[in-house]
Amino acid sequence: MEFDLHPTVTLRTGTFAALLAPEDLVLAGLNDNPVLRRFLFLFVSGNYSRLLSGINRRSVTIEVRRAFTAFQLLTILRDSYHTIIFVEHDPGLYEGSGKEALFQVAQALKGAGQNAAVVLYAPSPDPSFSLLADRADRFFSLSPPDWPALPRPRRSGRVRHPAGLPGDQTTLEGI
Amino acid sequence: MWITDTCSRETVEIWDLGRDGTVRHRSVPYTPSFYLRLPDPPAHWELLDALESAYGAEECTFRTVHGTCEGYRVPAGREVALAIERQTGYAAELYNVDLRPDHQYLAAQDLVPCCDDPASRFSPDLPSLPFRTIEVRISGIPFEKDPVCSIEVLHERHEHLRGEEGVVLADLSALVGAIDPDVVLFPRSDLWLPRLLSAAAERGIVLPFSRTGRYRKMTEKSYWSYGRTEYRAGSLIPDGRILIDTAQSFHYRESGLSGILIGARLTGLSPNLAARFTSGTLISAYEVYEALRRGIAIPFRKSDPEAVRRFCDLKSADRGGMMFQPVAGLYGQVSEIDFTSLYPSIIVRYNLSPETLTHPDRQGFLPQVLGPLLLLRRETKARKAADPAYAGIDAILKWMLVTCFGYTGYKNAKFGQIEVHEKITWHAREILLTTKECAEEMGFDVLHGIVDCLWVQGGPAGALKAHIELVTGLHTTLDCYDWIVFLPMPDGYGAYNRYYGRLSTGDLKIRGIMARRGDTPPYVRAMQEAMLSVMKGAGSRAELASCREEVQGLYREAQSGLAAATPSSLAIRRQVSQLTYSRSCPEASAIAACRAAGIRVEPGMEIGYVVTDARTWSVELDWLAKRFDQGYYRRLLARAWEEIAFALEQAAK
Repeated sequence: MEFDLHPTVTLRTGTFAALLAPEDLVLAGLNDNPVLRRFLFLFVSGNYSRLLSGINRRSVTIEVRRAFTAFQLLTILRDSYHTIIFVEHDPGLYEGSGKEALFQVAQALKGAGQNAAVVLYAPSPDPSFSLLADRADRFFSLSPPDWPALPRPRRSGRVRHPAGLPGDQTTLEGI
Repeated sequence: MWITDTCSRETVEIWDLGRDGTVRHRSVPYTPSFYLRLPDPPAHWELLDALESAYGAEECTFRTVHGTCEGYRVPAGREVALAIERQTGYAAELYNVDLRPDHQYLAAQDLVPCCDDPASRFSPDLPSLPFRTIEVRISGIPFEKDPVCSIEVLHERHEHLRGEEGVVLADLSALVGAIDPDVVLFPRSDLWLPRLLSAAAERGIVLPFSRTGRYRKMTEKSYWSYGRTEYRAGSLIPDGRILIDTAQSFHYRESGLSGILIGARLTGLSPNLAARFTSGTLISAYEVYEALRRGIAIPFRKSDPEAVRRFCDLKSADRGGMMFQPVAGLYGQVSEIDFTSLYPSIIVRYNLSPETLTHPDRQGFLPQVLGPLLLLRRETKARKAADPAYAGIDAILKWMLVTCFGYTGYKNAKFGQIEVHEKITWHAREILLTTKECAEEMGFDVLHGIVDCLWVQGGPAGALKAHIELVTGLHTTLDCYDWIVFLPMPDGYGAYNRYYGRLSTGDLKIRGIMARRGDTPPYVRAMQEAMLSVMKGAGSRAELASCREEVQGLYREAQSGLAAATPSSLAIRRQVSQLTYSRSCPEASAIAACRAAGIRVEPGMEIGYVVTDARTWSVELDWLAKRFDQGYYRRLLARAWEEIAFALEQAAK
């Protein structure tokens, strides 16, 4: 299974992808996406979702589970049987739960990504997102037109990776 | 004997107060265990072997709210539990890990603080005990570094200790030692006590606030609660005495000493903790204590998420409380029907608990433990009407019951589940809709409704109250107003939460206006309270209209007297939610002023400040302020007057 969340973001089964993008771009990719009707889609959010209210319930057939703690997120990821798992990142989940729990969630995202297309989404980076994204197979960063420009590639033409990304990770720069 | 204080160190420490006033201190050896359940024990056989050989872990059966579990009892502490978590990749289910050993011990031994007989735990009566109570007062600002040269001690006499700091501290030491109080009421003790102890220690004086010389340290913390950042100051808790910071303890302010003693009795915590914890922590402690007493293990981690559900089902389930928006205006002969502790009543009536979501036939844990609390609240509320002495007990029960609903949706609640939270609000919405329909069928006009209250107009509402109670099966109270005003929002529509009116008893009920808000300067509050006091005498719309001149006179008087007001009477007290602000605002200036005065600020702290220039949002700290921005405070007075003038204008129509 493979689908385009955005012209520059193609997600496929067997990968765990981290995505930094403005909410409207993600909502546009989720709403009216015919592919999402054909597969079991699990949307996971924390207590305060930025996306849920913008999702058109007539255009997609999604299932939802909310996690209020990192441990609940672990259970959700381990229980999941869906083809697509979209996790809206909530840094509040990791407050007080320790770095070890964060590491376990990263492992669980990676593990779930072996049988599903797993997306960890955040509108902007934060320390916990960066730590989780470290384990992602792919990292997408889409900037809106009014965001400050991303660091330009060096003259050598190599794409500059955000700090802390492993060397084998593919980072695409969008708009 | 009454247990008046407990704590745990290597042993559980208990202080008992006898009817003759004698105090007994016991140290009880106690090693609590935790429970472990593994989804696949053979996969972790090495871990289990190690736990057995190193700590004596043994196979056992234990109970949770969901039923009986096969697992292991591990007589070890939290560090071992955390290591198990890490080693199993958080697959292990752990129970009874983060409990206070003294709390566990009391529950296991059927011991109840502040109580002669555990059977009378849910009685609203407190026997009169020979408590030796003192009140310590220090005038001055605890943040200032000046020596403490004046302390007042109130007991059977009023003693005023004055002089050089060393003399004052020596006198205080002698006095506390001689009185040997059981309860110390001390405004701002959380700030003063560390200063006094260190100043005394420098002089070789022992201040005997602690009965053993030892203090438990409660660290300060900022936390998020009900949409705002709160701050709890760090404190030193003396062994064996009840020390209450009367200025900072929310429960003391709301409930007094009797409320705190009942809170301790219900939760199994020492009164020192009951005075310092939030209502949410008290209800959580109560549920934990009840669970332990019933032999139910307490989950360590919140790892059971909501079930998978379709998006449209989530949207329809997660809607919160119901409101009917009022039309702004003045209304005569209005009745307010208020469901007593609606949300906990729903939990009990509809048997809502995490385990009953899947097994509705079982009697749920939450309804079982909240039922007695509800009955106690109903009893104290009834007694309070005749005897104000019960007001404090009623208040602490009210706050505990208010928070028990929110706790069902709290991420760390031991016995919470978001679906339970949603079901409660669903029932509440249905109940309010049913109530509205009942009222309309009986010919009443519904003016306003907020979650658990309905305001109706159309005659005596006694029959309506009885009918609603019959239909819903829930207890209600009825308040009748001679008049009530629902204030407008800036767009002209009625505000949900800003209203005031005169009850048929002659008292005023006020919500959301400046006289009620915590951040209103005392000068502005005094003006609005004086106006309301005049309006309180008006029993009808016509009488209300006729008092306009007098009330407006108070406004003119406040405006003309503003220039001579003291800066401290214009202090605004607000909690700061953060320490850095991207825009210019009074809170940002207040934080800067605190830092300049050498005061460390934490999110959630309350700061008192006086605005000295509203154009630049310049402020001075309330205790240092020498001037104020008259224009700014004139505008505040005008805003307070507008809230009153609206009612008077409506009355004149």
